[in-house]
Amino acid sequence: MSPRDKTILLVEDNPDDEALTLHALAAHKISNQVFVARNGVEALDYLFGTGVHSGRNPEPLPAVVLLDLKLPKIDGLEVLRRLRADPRTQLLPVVLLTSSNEEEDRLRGYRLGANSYVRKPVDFDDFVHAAGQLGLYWLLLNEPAKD
Amino acid sequence: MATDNPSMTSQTRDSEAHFRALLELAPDAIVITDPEGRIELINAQTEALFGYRREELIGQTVEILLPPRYRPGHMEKRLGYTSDPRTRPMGAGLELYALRKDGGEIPVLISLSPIRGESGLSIFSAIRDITEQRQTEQRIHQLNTRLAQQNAELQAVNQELEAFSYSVSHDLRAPLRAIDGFSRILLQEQAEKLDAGARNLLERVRRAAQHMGNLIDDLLKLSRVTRADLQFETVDLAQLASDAMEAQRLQAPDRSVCFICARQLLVRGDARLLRIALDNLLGNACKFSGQREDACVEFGMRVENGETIYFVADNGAGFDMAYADKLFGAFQRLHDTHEFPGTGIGLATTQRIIHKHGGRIWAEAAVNAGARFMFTLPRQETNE
Repeated sequence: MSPRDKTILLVEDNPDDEALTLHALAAHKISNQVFVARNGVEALDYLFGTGVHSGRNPEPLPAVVLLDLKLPKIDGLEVLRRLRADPRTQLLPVVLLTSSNEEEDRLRGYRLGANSYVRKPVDFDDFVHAAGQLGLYWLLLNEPAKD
Repeated sequence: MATDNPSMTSQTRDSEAHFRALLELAPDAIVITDPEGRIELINAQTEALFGYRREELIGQTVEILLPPRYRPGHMEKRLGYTSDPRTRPMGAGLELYALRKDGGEIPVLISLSPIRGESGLSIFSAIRDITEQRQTEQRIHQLNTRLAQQNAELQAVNQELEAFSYSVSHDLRAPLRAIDGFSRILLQEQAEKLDAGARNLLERVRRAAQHMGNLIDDLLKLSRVTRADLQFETVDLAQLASDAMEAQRLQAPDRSVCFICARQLLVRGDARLLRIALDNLLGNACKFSGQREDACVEFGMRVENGETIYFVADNGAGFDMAYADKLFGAFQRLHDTHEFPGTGIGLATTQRIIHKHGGRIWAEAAVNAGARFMFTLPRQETNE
């Protein structure tokens, strides 16, 4: 699959953070389609073709899921747990994007099988930089488990 | 035979008198009963403890010294004892009570020993009043219960604080990100619509947001330090300082600060917290010597009046000693923000860490002649 066809799933409940993330990705000329799920349930529905997204073919899966930890309904770690528990999404790259710099959150995230843990900085320049790095890496450089 | 020898008899008599005296004055109440369980002999302490005169007890069955509810069981035991007499020491695990003449009951410890005599098996028992001991035990139990309660309450408060801080960390940072981010986007994308004045205002909005972000981070660190339980271990303070200096070097690779660090300084303390304290002190030293070409920062130790004093010294801006008492207050600053940025929480955090270790921290300085921050870490016994 060419890099341009890869999609990104952003799981983020905060509309400001959503706008900033999309902006940051665009600032790096990342024009891939970004789908936004606003809570944990919606994210899982999207990835499995269930619930509000029943009828949707979840294949091909996104190149990467950018997952916020604090989400309404089901929180980020629970979403991660369920993704890792299902063979279809076990190897799906997940990047935890969060305000928290708490060591416990980081450890829990990694233990549950997150591929990466990135802190959302307050400074927007840093944020753009981080988002750009993420986009470029996961879309262009990373070799996924399955194509 | 002993009676044939007069000197032997008098020796025996002396010996007997000696032992009777010992018995009479023994600190425990002594009761000797005959094979039928009747009291043969008592001592002064028995009279005192039970409130009887000797004559009232001799010849009585020993059950008179027990509360009525124990008597049937005791008689049974007594009969069983004579068929299998064994020495039973005090504190064999029984809650025993004795009965005084005035009807009062006292908690006691009892020991029993068989004595083979001419007429059969006598029983020698020593009785100890443990009223005071019981009271002390109860008091300790009460205190322990209260302690456990208070601990539980403290745990609950700590958990609440933890949740609160966590919330603060997430929830306050999100709108800050929005403030900073959208201002930046305005600056970038609407540049042609904004004049220099407008751009300047937006820059100030961004700087304020970033400053608030730093405040939140520092406040969180401060609150975590306060709540932390010290994990005491042997730490090389000099290594921690050296690591902190390296971190400072990496943060400002274009500066050439001369760092001097002691070789090895082993102390007992919490490594994580001590590192935070050193980060703060060395960070300040570097920051406040930022205007000097030949900035020099040193970490070392000296002994004064038998006390080990650790210090971080710099040759930078220093401060006026007249304001020294404000140094460690949270949010207190002695310099202008545009000269030397900061949140004013670093030293408050450092002070809390040193105090948690039972130490003192103070500083000496002069304007433009550098500063020297000193602290002690007194708790150095390994059983801490």
